[in-house]
Amino acid sequence: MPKISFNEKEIPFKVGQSVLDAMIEFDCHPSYSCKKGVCQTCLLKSDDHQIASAQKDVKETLIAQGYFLACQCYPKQDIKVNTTDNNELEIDVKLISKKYISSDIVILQLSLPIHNTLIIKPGQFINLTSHHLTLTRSYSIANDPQKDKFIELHIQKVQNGKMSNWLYDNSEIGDYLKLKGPFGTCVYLKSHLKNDLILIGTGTGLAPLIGIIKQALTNNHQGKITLFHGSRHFNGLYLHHELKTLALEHDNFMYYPCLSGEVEDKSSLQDTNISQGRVNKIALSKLTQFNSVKFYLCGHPDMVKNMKKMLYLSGADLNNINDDPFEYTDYT
Amino acid sequence: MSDSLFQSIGGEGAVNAAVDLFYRKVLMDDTISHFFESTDMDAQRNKQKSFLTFAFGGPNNYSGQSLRDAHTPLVNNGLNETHFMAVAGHLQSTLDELGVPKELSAKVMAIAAGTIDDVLNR
Repeated sequence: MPKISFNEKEIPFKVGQSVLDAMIEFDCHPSYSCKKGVCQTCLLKSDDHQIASAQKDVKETLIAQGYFLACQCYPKQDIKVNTTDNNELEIDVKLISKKYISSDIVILQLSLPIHNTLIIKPGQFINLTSHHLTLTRSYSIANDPQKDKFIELHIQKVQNGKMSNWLYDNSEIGDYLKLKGPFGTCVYLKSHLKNDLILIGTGTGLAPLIGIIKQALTNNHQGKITLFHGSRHFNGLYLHHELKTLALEHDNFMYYPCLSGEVEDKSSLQDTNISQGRVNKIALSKLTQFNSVKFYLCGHPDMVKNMKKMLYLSGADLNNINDDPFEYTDYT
Repeated sequence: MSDSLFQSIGGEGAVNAAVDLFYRKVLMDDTISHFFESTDMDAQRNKQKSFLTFAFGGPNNYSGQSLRDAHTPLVNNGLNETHFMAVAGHLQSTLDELGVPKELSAKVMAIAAGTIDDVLNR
């Protein structure tokens, strides 16, 4: 009888039985609901080719990471599957660079172990644990770690945020941190080479977006790439000059900085083409095309939720909207 | 469950054609959209697909109890018959827009109407 290897367990199954039913029968307690391939509650991960027929209607960015529906998967041979949340590895990373960008943003670089086996894509996020604080927080990947051999994170100090304040003020070069992941579906897909990409972010929501943009440009992306970056103050447009230069170098890359707060120095507006207003409003006013565009929304949760709803109501396909709301809970 | 209704209405293809029309109408209706504010839109769209599959007479695992439990928090937040009727209205106009013949859409509406006691936890 063929076997399903599930996390550390091995369970036998009958040919003709779904992975989900076999797991239910052997008390693996899988999450599921409709068993009809609709609700997507039973998503699991595998790199086996036998999952291909069980990926119908699964988001493309999830398919790229091996997600499939357990209730629709009828393997004929042994298959190895994992749950989606606890198969990610934990590794030690070392702080190798710290670059202050503004009074509340710092860019960190973390070295990966020499024999690193993690595949981390730009735009995904990782959970970082500090031994000093015994705290874990999520941060987005701003570069291509496979290419660079290190991980770049953009950290913005959050009011009462223990981890972000520690990383900004107290962390030192050579410090070790624990990294778990990667997670998230905000990734660039090579199969989207000809699609237009529209990326909208606030604050350090720019980190995953710049990772995706650089990967797309390296890949000689052929569709248009449009970035809207919103911040309250000019200091928060922390890659302004780099992005302006990038837009000059690439005909298919457009950069729209937006400021929602008071602008003290009005002359800077004319000079740099900064729009005044909330980034979601400005983006919506400039967008005309919603079909076959791939959207990436990152940063403030209210902006991300509002934008996702507005894009969907304007005709965008939900499967084309990748979002990463930077949820924050104040524990003080 | 009546497979013949599901077949006549166009099966899975009909569900796919209807889901975005229907969900957009629901989200744009200010009298009910607040019930959907805090939900994950991708998950919610999948639930709408399950519901439409059920209402179209298709294969489903809908049980009265799960419908009941899923709507309890909403009922506690004031979900009532007016809201139910608003959603039913959006379902009817979705079917009309897709050109579903009257005799079929009447059957769909009857299946949907049959959920009212569970949805409103009565």
